[in-house]
Amino acid sequence: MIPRLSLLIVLFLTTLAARAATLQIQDARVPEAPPVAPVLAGYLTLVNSGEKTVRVVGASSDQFEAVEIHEMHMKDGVMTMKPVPALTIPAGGKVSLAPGGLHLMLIRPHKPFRAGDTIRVMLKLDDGSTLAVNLPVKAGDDHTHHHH
Amino acid sequence: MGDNGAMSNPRRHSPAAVFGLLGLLFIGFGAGYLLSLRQNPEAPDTGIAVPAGLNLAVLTDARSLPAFRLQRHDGRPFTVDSLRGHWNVLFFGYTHCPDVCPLALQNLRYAWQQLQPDPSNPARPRAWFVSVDPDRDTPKLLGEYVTYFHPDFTGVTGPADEIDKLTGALGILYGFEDKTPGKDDYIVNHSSQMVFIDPQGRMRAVLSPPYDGDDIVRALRFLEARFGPQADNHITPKPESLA
Repeated sequence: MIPRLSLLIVLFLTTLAARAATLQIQDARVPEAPPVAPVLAGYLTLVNSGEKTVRVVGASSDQFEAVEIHEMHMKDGVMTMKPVPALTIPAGGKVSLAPGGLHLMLIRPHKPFRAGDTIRVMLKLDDGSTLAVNLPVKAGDDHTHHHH
Repeated sequence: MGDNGAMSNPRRHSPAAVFGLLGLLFIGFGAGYLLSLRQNPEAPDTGIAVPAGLNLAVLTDARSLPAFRLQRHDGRPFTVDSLRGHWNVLFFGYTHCPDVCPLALQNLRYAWQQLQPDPSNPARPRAWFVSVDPDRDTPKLLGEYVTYFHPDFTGVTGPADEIDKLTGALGILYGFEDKTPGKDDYIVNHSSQMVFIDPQGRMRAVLSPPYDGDDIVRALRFLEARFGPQADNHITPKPESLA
């Protein structure tokens, strides 16, 4: 009985690890902000190479008081922002957190970050597993212009 | 990505609904206002040709601003007089803004790197970052925030009713979401236009998103060339031969 139970546990943990492993992180970054900035924005692309939908249901970081997922909308020149309770990444699909759309809202850093630092965020998935993401802090990109 | 945004948290409905309604009213008002800037039927057709691809609405008659009294991050007063004698770009935002405001300031920094205004020239253009969140944006915080982007940028804050005099006159809209006493985490929704004030301290043009640093450069160069440092209130159409 006991060996069988531990086998089940091992299988269960393996499944969890496999689940998180189906999510690949691309283009993770945090633009450097003023050292006094009370919030930072984290950007990344989540790619789901698995066969099941994966949902990110929360985020946290030891380096911040709180981490939320937000989405901003621009309508008639007015920016509105609201928290997003979860990100759904369909099997074979991807979700991009990028300027002007979704972002990780990194609230009240415990210390200021400069370009070259790394911010570590734990993404909580709907199966109860977590996925650690490293987001390098990058110097303000002065070539942010879009092309006409 | 849009699918994720469609989800809403039902627990937030009551305050969100109220703010949503207010927001809709604000946005409706804002859209109407901006539309009126572009399609004012009483405005003479002065044929102001805005550079191609530039989302710039130019007022045919510059609009005088009402009196207001705000504070610069260095403690000095910020009034209509602060806007006279040079061109001005105003952006309204808040330091707890993760995405739009730092990007706007970054675009302004890029513009200033291109324009290279001489810091000793009193007629150089100025960039002002006006807080619409005075409860959290102290002059000290604003100062450290804006000068990170450029030493010549200035943060402005003050009492909400004084801020409202300026935002009201310029058609800038903002509203708080889930702001309750004692709660430090709340969202400020706000207009993201760049407003251009002429050297007489009058509203002259509005650059609407999406824009980038190059657009700010083009808008400022266009306005300076078109209206000059001592613009008249009324536009004199350029002679055909020179057009």
